Amino acid sequence: MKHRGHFDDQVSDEALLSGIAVGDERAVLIFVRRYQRRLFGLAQGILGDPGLAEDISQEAFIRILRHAAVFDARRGSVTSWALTITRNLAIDALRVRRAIPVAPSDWVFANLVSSDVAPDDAVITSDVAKPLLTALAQLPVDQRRAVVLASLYGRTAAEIAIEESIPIGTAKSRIRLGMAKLRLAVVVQDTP
Amino acid sequence: MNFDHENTDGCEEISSDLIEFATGTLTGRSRTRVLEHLATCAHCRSELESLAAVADALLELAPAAEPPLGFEQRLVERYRGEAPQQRAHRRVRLVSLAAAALILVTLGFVVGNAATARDSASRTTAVAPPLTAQFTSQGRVLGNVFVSSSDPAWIYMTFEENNWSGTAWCRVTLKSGVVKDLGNFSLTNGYGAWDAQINVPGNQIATAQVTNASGQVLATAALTA
Repeated sequence: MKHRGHFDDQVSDEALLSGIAVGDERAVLIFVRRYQRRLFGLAQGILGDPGLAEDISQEAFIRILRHAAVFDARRGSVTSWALTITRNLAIDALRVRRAIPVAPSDWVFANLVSSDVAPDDAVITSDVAKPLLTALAQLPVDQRRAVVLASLYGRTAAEIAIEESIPIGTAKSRIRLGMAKLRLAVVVQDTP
Repeated sequence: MNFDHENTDGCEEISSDLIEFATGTLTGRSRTRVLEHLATCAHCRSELESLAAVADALLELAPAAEPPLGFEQRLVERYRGEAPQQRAHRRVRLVSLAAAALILVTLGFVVGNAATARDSASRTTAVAPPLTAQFTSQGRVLGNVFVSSSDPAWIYMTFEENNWSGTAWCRVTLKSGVVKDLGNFSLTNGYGAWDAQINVPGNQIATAQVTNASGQVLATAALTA
Protein backbone atom coordinates (compact mmCIF):
# COMPACT_ATOMS: atom_id res chain seq x y z
CA MET A 1 0.00 0.00 0.00
CA LYS A 2 1.45 3.33 -1.00
CA HIS A 3 1.46 6.15 1.51
CA ARG A 4 -0.79 9.03 0.73
CA GLY A 5 1.51 11.97 0.85
CA HIS A 6 1.68 15.64 0.22
CA PHE A 7 1.87 15.04 -3.53
CA ASP A 8 -1.50 13.30 -3.51
CA ASP A 9 -3.19 16.37 -2.11
CA GLN A 10 -1.32 18.95 -4.14
CA VAL A 11 -1.31 17.53 -7.64
CA SER A 12 -3.93 19.18 -9.85
CA ASP A 13 -6.88 17.35 -11.38
CA GLU A 14 -5.56 18.19 -14.83
CA ALA A 15 -2.16 16.68 -14.03
CA LEU A 16 -3.87 13.55 -12.75
CA LEU A 17 -5.81 13.20 -16.00
CA SER A 18 -2.56 13.53 -17.94
CA GLY A 19 -1.06 10.77 -15.82
CA ILE A 20 -4.13 8.58 -16.28
CA ALA A 21 -3.91 9.10 -20.03
CA VAL A 22 -0.41 7.62 -20.14
CA GLY A 23 -1.35 4.66 -17.95
CA ASP A 24 -0.03 5.86 -14.59
CA GLU A 25 -1.87 3.69 -12.05
CA ARG A 26 -0.94 5.97 -9.16
CA ALA A 27 -2.75 8.83 -10.86
CA VAL A 28 -5.81 6.58 -11.21
CA LEU A 29 -5.78 5.78 -7.48
CA ILE A 30 -5.33 9.39 -6.42
CA PHE A 31 -8.10 10.50 -8.74
CA VAL A 32 -10.50 7.79 -7.52
CA ARG A 33 -9.77 8.57 -3.87
CA ARG A 34 -10.24 12.27 -4.50
CA TYR A 35 -13.60 11.93 -6.23
CA GLN A 36 -15.26 8.74 -5.03
CA ARG A 37 -17.24 10.36 -2.20
CA ARG A 38 -18.50 13.11 -4.46
CA LEU A 39 -19.49 10.98 -7.43
CA PHE A 40 -21.06 8.29 -5.25
CA GLY A 41 -22.84 10.94 -3.15
CA LEU A 42 -24.30 12.63 -6.21
CA ALA A 43 -25.45 9.31 -7.70
CA GLN A 44 -27.00 8.24 -4.40
CA GLY A 45 -28.77 11.58 -4.06
CA ILE A 46 -30.38 11.17 -7.47
CA LEU A 47 -31.08 7.44 -7.26
CA GLY A 48 -31.74 6.88 -3.55
CA ASP A 49 -30.27 3.37 -3.84
CA PRO A 50 -26.70 2.68 -2.67
CA GLY A 51 -26.29 -0.41 -4.87
CA LEU A 52 -27.39 1.29 -8.03
CA ALA A 53 -25.43 4.41 -7.03
CA GLU A 54 -22.26 2.30 -6.86
CA ASP A 55 -22.89 0.88 -10.34
CA ILE A 56 -23.52 4.32 -11.77
CA SER A 57 -20.64 6.10 -10.06
CA GLN A 58 -18.27 3.30 -11.12
CA GLU A 59 -19.49 3.61 -14.70
CA ALA A 60 -18.90 7.36 -14.47
CA PHE A 61 -15.36 6.77 -13.24
CA ILE A 62 -14.70 4.32 -16.07
CA ARG A 63 -15.85 6.88 -18.64
CA ILE A 64 -13.76 9.60 -17.04
CA LEU A 65 -10.65 7.42 -16.87
CA ARG A 66 -11.17 6.17 -20.40
CA HIS A 67 -11.53 9.68 -21.79
CA ALA A 68 -8.89 11.35 -19.64
CA ALA A 69 -6.78 12.05 -22.71
CA VAL A 70 -9.44 14.10 -24.43
CA PHE A 71 -10.56 16.24 -21.48
CA ASP A 72 -10.65 19.85 -22.65
CA ALA A 73 -9.85 22.26 -19.82
CA ARG A 74 -11.21 25.17 -21.86
CA ARG A 75 -14.71 23.78 -21.50
CA GLY A 76 -14.79 23.76 -17.70
CA SER A 77 -13.26 22.23 -14.62
CA VAL A 78 -12.53 18.57 -14.07
CA THR A 79 -14.91 18.63 -11.10
CA SER A 80 -17.75 19.96 -13.21
CA TRP A 81 -17.00 17.45 -15.98
CA ALA A 82 -16.91 14.51 -13.57
CA LEU A 83 -20.09 15.52 -11.76
CA THR A 84 -21.95 16.19 -15.01
CA ILE A 85 -21.07 12.74 -16.38
CA THR A 86 -22.28 11.17 -13.13
CA ARG A 87 -25.49 13.17 -13.08
CA ASN A 88 -26.34 12.28 -16.69
CA LEU A 89 -25.72 8.57 -16.12
CA ALA A 90 -27.75 8.62 -12.90
CA ILE A 91 -30.66 10.40 -14.54
CA ASP A 92 -30.62 7.90 -17.42
CA ALA A 93 -30.71 5.05 -14.91
CA LEU A 94 -33.51 6.73 -12.99
CA ARG A 95 -35.63 7.00 -16.11
CA VAL A 96 -35.09 3.34 -16.96
CA ARG A 97 -35.78 2.12 -13.46
CA ARG A 98 -38.90 3.92 -12.41
CA ALA A 99 -41.29 6.54 -13.68
CA ILE A 100 -41.56 8.63 -10.55
CA PRO A 101 -38.58 8.93 -8.19
CA VAL A 102 -39.07 8.98 -4.46
CA ALA A 103 -38.78 12.29 -2.67
CA PRO A 104 -35.30 12.83 -1.26
CA SER A 105 -35.34 12.56 2.51
CA ASP A 106 -31.67 12.84 3.39
CA TRP A 107 -30.52 15.46 5.85
CA VAL A 108 -28.35 17.19 3.26
CA PHE A 109 -31.40 17.91 1.13
CA ALA A 110 -33.24 19.21 4.18
CA ASN A 111 -30.27 21.37 5.03
CA LEU A 112 -29.90 22.75 1.53
CA VAL A 113 -33.52 23.73 1.16
CA SER A 114 -34.31 24.97 4.63
CA SER A 115 -31.16 26.54 6.00
CA ASP A 116 -28.68 29.21 5.00
CA VAL A 117 -25.84 27.15 6.38
CA ALA A 118 -23.64 25.19 3.99
CA PRO A 119 -23.99 21.45 4.46
CA ASP A 120 -20.98 20.03 6.25
CA ASP A 121 -20.75 17.23 3.75
CA ALA A 122 -20.72 19.34 0.62
CA VAL A 123 -17.20 19.66 -0.76
CA ILE A 124 -17.14 23.06 -2.38
CA THR A 125 -14.00 23.81 -4.29
CA SER A 126 -14.76 26.34 -6.98
CA ASP A 127 -15.02 30.09 -6.72
CA VAL A 128 -18.35 29.89 -8.52
CA ALA A 129 -20.01 27.46 -6.11
CA LYS A 130 -19.46 29.56 -3.00
CA PRO A 131 -21.48 32.63 -4.12
CA LEU A 132 -23.96 30.21 -5.64
CA LEU A 133 -24.57 28.64 -2.25
CA THR A 134 -25.11 32.08 -0.76
CA ALA A 135 -27.53 33.00 -3.55
CA LEU A 136 -29.33 29.68 -3.12
CA ALA A 137 -29.86 30.40 0.57
CA GLN A 138 -31.43 33.76 -0.33
CA LEU A 139 -34.06 32.28 -2.64
CA PRO A 140 -37.64 31.90 -1.41
CA VAL A 141 -37.93 28.41 0.00
CA ASP A 142 -40.30 27.15 -2.72
CA GLN A 143 -37.88 28.25 -5.46
CA ARG A 144 -34.95 26.81 -3.53
CA ARG A 145 -36.63 23.43 -3.24
CA ALA A 146 -37.51 23.40 -6.94
CA VAL A 147 -34.00 24.37 -8.05
CA VAL A 148 -32.32 21.83 -5.76
CA LEU A 149 -34.70 19.05 -6.84
CA ALA A 150 -34.10 19.85 -10.51
CA SER A 151 -30.36 20.37 -10.46
CA LEU A 152 -29.04 18.09 -7.72
CA TYR A 153 -31.66 15.36 -7.67
CA GLY A 154 -32.42 15.15 -11.40
CA ARG A 155 -36.15 15.80 -11.10
CA THR A 156 -38.19 17.00 -14.07
CA ALA A 157 -40.68 19.83 -13.64
CA ALA A 158 -43.49 17.27 -13.89
CA GLU A 159 -41.99 15.19 -11.07
CA ILE A 160 -41.50 18.27 -8.92
CA ALA A 161 -45.14 19.19 -9.54
CA ILE A 162 -46.19 15.79 -8.19
CA GLU A 163 -43.81 15.82 -5.23
CA GLU A 164 -44.77 19.35 -4.23
CA SER A 165 -48.48 18.96 -5.09
CA ILE A 166 -48.46 21.99 -7.37
CA PRO A 167 -49.43 22.56 -11.02
CA ILE A 168 -46.65 21.87 -13.51
CA GLY A 169 -46.71 25.50 -14.63
CA THR A 170 -45.97 26.56 -11.07
CA ALA A 171 -43.11 24.07 -10.84
CA LYS A 172 -41.59 25.38 -14.07
CA SER A 173 -42.04 28.95 -12.90
CA ARG A 174 -40.28 28.25 -9.59
CA ILE A 175 -37.33 26.60 -11.34
CA ARG A 176 -37.11 29.40 -13.89
CA LEU A 177 -37.23 32.21 -11.33
CA GLY A 178 -34.76 30.47 -9.04
CA MET A 179 -32.30 29.72 -11.82
CA ALA A 180 -32.52 33.30 -13.09
CA LYS A 181 -31.45 34.62 -9.68
CA LEU A 182 -28.67 32.09 -9.37
CA ARG A 183 -27.43 32.94 -12.84
CA LEU A 184 -27.27 36.56 -11.83
CA ALA A 185 -25.08 35.59 -8.89
CA VAL A 186 -22.73 33.69 -11.19
CA VAL A 187 -22.61 36.53 -13.72
CA VAL A 188 -21.85 39.09 -11.01
CA GLN A 189 -19.11 36.79 -9.74
CA ASP A 190 -17.59 36.55 -13.21
CA THR A 191 -17.65 40.33 -13.75
CA PRO A 192 -14.33 41.99 -12.81
CA MET B 1 -34.61 43.45 -28.80
CA ASN B 2 -32.12 42.62 -31.47
CA PHE B 3 -30.71 39.18 -30.99
CA ASP B 4 -28.05 37.93 -33.32
CA HIS B 5 -29.76 34.78 -34.39
CA GLU B 6 -31.17 33.24 -37.48
CA ASN B 7 -34.50 32.04 -36.16
CA THR B 8 -36.59 33.83 -33.56
CA ASP B 9 -39.55 31.48 -33.88
CA GLY B 10 -40.13 29.27 -30.88
CA CYS B 11 -37.75 30.90 -28.38
CA GLU B 12 -40.58 31.63 -25.98
CA GLU B 13 -42.02 28.14 -26.34
CA ILE B 14 -38.80 26.35 -25.46
CA SER B 15 -37.55 28.76 -22.79
CA SER B 16 -38.76 26.67 -19.86
CA ASP B 17 -37.54 23.46 -21.51
CA LEU B 18 -34.07 25.00 -21.82
CA ILE B 19 -33.65 24.85 -18.04
CA GLU B 20 -34.54 21.17 -17.95
CA PHE B 21 -32.18 20.63 -20.88
CA ALA B 22 -29.42 22.30 -18.86
CA THR B 23 -30.11 20.12 -15.81
CA GLY B 24 -30.06 16.99 -17.98
CA THR B 25 -33.66 16.02 -17.25
CA LEU B 26 -35.35 16.81 -20.55
CA THR B 27 -36.28 13.73 -22.55
CA GLY B 28 -38.24 12.52 -25.56
CA ARG B 29 -39.96 14.83 -27.97
CA SER B 30 -39.34 17.92 -25.86
CA ARG B 31 -35.60 17.31 -26.02
CA THR B 32 -35.75 16.76 -29.77
CA ARG B 33 -37.72 19.97 -30.19
CA VAL B 34 -35.13 21.92 -28.19
CA LEU B 35 -32.26 20.39 -30.17
CA GLU B 36 -33.93 21.32 -33.44
CA HIS B 37 -34.45 24.88 -32.24
CA LEU B 38 -30.90 25.22 -30.92
CA ALA B 39 -29.52 24.22 -34.30
CA THR B 40 -30.83 27.45 -35.78
CA CYS B 41 -30.90 29.88 -32.83
CA ALA B 42 -27.70 31.46 -31.57
CA HIS B 43 -29.54 33.34 -28.84
CA CYS B 44 -30.95 30.19 -27.27
CA ARG B 45 -27.58 28.44 -27.56
CA SER B 46 -26.07 31.30 -25.62
CA GLU B 47 -28.94 31.14 -23.12
CA LEU B 48 -28.39 27.41 -22.69
CA GLU B 49 -24.68 27.92 -22.15
CA SER B 50 -25.24 30.25 -19.22
CA LEU B 51 -27.97 28.06 -17.72
CA ALA B 52 -25.73 25.01 -18.04
CA ALA B 53 -22.95 26.90 -16.26
CA VAL B 54 -25.29 27.47 -13.31
CA ALA B 55 -26.60 23.89 -13.39
CA ASP B 56 -23.06 22.48 -13.49
CA ALA B 57 -21.89 24.75 -10.67
CA LEU B 58 -24.90 23.66 -8.59
CA LEU B 59 -23.65 20.07 -8.84
CA GLU B 60 -20.74 21.10 -6.66
CA LEU B 61 -23.22 21.55 -3.83
CA ALA B 62 -24.27 17.91 -4.08
CA PRO B 63 -23.77 15.90 -0.91
CA ALA B 64 -20.69 13.73 -0.70
CA ALA B 65 -21.18 10.27 0.77
CA GLU B 66 -18.95 7.40 1.77
CA PRO B 67 -19.21 4.64 -0.85
CA PRO B 68 -19.59 1.00 0.21
CA LEU B 69 -16.54 -0.88 1.47
CA GLY B 70 -14.40 -2.16 -1.40
CA PHE B 71 -15.64 0.46 -3.88
CA GLU B 72 -12.15 1.57 -4.81
CA GLN B 73 -10.82 -1.97 -5.25
CA ARG B 74 -13.76 -3.04 -7.39
CA LEU B 75 -13.41 0.04 -9.55
CA VAL B 76 -9.68 -0.32 -10.10
CA GLU B 77 -10.07 -4.03 -10.92
CA ARG B 78 -12.75 -3.17 -13.42
CA TYR B 79 -10.63 -0.45 -14.95
CA ARG B 80 -7.61 -2.74 -15.25
CA GLY B 81 -9.58 -5.13 -17.35
CA GLU B 82 -12.49 -6.63 -15.47
CA ALA B 83 -12.48 -8.84 -12.37
CA PRO B 84 -11.49 -12.39 -13.35
CA GLN B 85 -14.71 -14.03 -12.18
CA GLN B 86 -16.81 -11.65 -14.24
CA ARG B 87 -14.62 -11.44 -17.30
CA ALA B 88 -16.56 -13.97 -19.36
CA HIS B 89 -19.86 -12.22 -18.79
CA ARG B 90 -18.95 -8.64 -19.52
CA ARG B 91 -18.95 -6.80 -22.78
CA VAL B 92 -15.66 -7.64 -24.40
CA ARG B 93 -15.94 -4.80 -26.86
CA LEU B 94 -15.90 -2.11 -24.20
CA VAL B 95 -12.83 -3.64 -22.59
CA SER B 96 -11.01 -3.74 -25.90
CA LEU B 97 -11.92 -0.12 -26.51
CA ALA B 98 -10.55 0.92 -23.15
CA ALA B 99 -7.40 -1.03 -23.82
CA ALA B 100 -7.16 0.43 -27.30
CA ALA B 101 -7.47 3.92 -25.89
CA LEU B 102 -4.61 3.25 -23.53
CA ILE B 103 -2.50 1.71 -26.29
CA LEU B 104 -3.28 4.67 -28.49
CA VAL B 105 -2.27 7.16 -25.85
CA THR B 106 0.85 5.21 -25.08
CA LEU B 107 1.80 5.08 -28.76
CA GLY B 108 1.33 8.79 -29.02
CA PHE B 109 3.42 9.76 -26.04
CA VAL B 110 5.94 7.07 -25.35
CA VAL B 111 8.86 5.36 -27.03
CA GLY B 112 10.76 2.47 -25.53
CA ASN B 113 9.73 -0.99 -24.60
CA ALA B 114 6.51 -1.81 -22.78
CA ALA B 115 8.24 -2.82 -19.57
CA THR B 116 10.02 0.49 -19.36
CA ALA B 117 6.81 2.36 -19.99
CA ARG B 118 4.97 0.45 -17.26
CA ASP B 119 7.76 0.79 -14.72
CA SER B 120 7.72 4.53 -14.59
CA ALA B 121 5.92 7.20 -16.50
CA SER B 122 8.62 9.62 -15.48
CA ARG B 123 11.25 7.68 -17.39
CA THR B 124 9.44 7.75 -20.70
CA THR B 125 10.51 9.93 -23.58
CA ALA B 126 7.98 12.22 -25.13
CA VAL B 127 7.51 12.26 -28.90
CA ALA B 128 5.14 14.31 -31.02
CA PRO B 129 1.80 14.48 -29.21
CA PRO B 130 -1.29 12.85 -30.70
CA LEU B 131 -3.79 14.95 -32.61
CA THR B 132 -7.13 15.51 -30.94
CA ALA B 133 -10.24 17.29 -32.12
CA GLN B 134 -13.92 17.49 -31.34
CA PHE B 135 -16.67 16.23 -33.60
CA THR B 136 -19.11 19.07 -34.06
CA SER B 137 -22.31 19.61 -35.94
CA GLN B 138 -23.98 23.01 -36.15
CA GLY B 139 -22.10 24.21 -33.09
CA ARG B 140 -22.83 21.17 -30.97
CA VAL B 141 -20.00 18.99 -29.72
CA LEU B 142 -20.85 15.34 -30.39
CA GLY B 143 -17.62 13.54 -29.62
CA ASN B 144 -13.86 13.40 -29.82
CA VAL B 145 -11.32 11.95 -32.19
CA PHE B 146 -7.80 11.08 -31.28
CA VAL B 147 -5.05 10.15 -33.79
CA SER B 148 -1.61 8.99 -32.72
CA SER B 149 1.43 10.52 -34.40
CA SER B 150 2.97 7.12 -35.05
CA ASP B 151 3.26 5.51 -38.48
CA PRO B 152 1.09 3.60 -39.00
CA ALA B 153 -1.28 5.62 -36.85
CA TRP B 154 -4.12 4.63 -34.57
CA ILE B 155 -7.42 6.40 -34.54
CA TYR B 156 -9.82 6.37 -31.61
CA MET B 157 -13.12 8.17 -31.45
CA THR B 158 -16.16 8.64 -29.29
CA PHE B 159 -19.49 9.81 -30.60
CA GLU B 160 -22.67 10.70 -28.74
CA GLU B 161 -25.99 11.64 -30.28
CA ASN B 162 -29.04 11.62 -28.12
CA ASN B 163 -31.20 8.49 -28.41
CA TRP B 164 -29.65 7.50 -31.75
CA SER B 165 -28.90 3.84 -32.29
CA GLY B 166 -27.51 2.32 -35.44
CA THR B 167 -24.34 2.04 -37.48
CA ALA B 168 -22.04 4.97 -38.03
CA TRP B 169 -19.07 5.16 -40.40
CA CYS B 170 -15.72 6.86 -39.91
CA ARG B 171 -14.41 8.73 -42.95
CA VAL B 172 -11.17 10.68 -43.12
CA THR B 173 -9.91 13.15 -45.68
CA LEU B 174 -6.15 13.31 -46.13
CA LYS B 175 -4.28 16.53 -46.75
CA SER B 176 -3.76 15.30 -50.31
CA GLY B 177 -7.53 15.35 -50.79
CA VAL B 178 -7.92 11.58 -50.81
CA VAL B 179 -11.04 10.41 -48.95
CA LYS B 180 -10.99 7.08 -47.10
CA ASP B 181 -13.80 5.22 -45.36
CA LEU B 182 -12.05 3.49 -42.47
CA GLY B 183 -14.77 1.37 -40.91
CA ASN B 184 -17.98 1.42 -38.95
CA PHE B 185 -19.18 1.09 -35.40
CA SER B 186 -22.46 0.82 -33.53
CA LEU B 187 -24.19 3.46 -31.48
CA THR B 188 -26.26 2.09 -28.63
CA ASN B 189 -28.53 4.41 -26.69
CA GLY B 190 -26.81 7.38 -28.25
CA TYR B 191 -23.21 6.39 -27.52
CA GLY B 192 -20.50 4.64 -29.48
CA ALA B 193 -16.73 4.40 -29.57
CA TRP B 194 -14.38 2.93 -32.15
CA ASP B 195 -10.69 2.42 -32.76
CA ALA B 196 -8.48 1.08 -35.56
CA GLN B 197 -5.00 1.08 -36.93
CA ILE B 198 -4.79 3.09 -40.15
CA ASN B 199 -2.26 2.69 -42.88
CA VAL B 200 -1.40 6.33 -43.23
CA PRO B 201 0.69 8.66 -41.04
CA GLY B 202 -1.51 10.42 -38.51
CA ASN B 203 -0.18 13.83 -39.49
CA GLN B 204 -1.54 13.38 -43.03
CA ILE B 205 -5.16 13.40 -41.87
CA ALA B 206 -6.92 16.73 -42.38
CA THR B 207 -10.45 15.93 -41.20
CA ALA B 208 -12.40 13.06 -39.70
CA GLN B 209 -16.12 12.64 -40.18
CA VAL B 210 -18.87 10.45 -38.80
CA THR B 211 -21.51 9.54 -41.37
CA ASN B 212 -24.70 7.50 -41.33
CA ALA B 213 -25.51 4.55 -43.57
CA SER B 214 -26.55 6.88 -46.38
CA GLY B 215 -23.25 8.73 -46.31
CA GLN B 216 -24.80 11.81 -44.73
CA VAL B 217 -22.23 13.60 -42.57
CA LEU B 218 -23.31 13.68 -38.91
CA ALA B 219 -20.29 15.52 -37.53
CA THR B 220 -16.87 16.74 -38.60
CA ALA B 221 -13.59 17.19 -36.74
CA ALA B 222 -10.70 19.21 -38.15
CA LEU B 223 -7.33 17.77 -37.14
CA THR B 224 -4.50 20.25 -37.08
CA ALA B 225 -0.89 19.35 -36.36
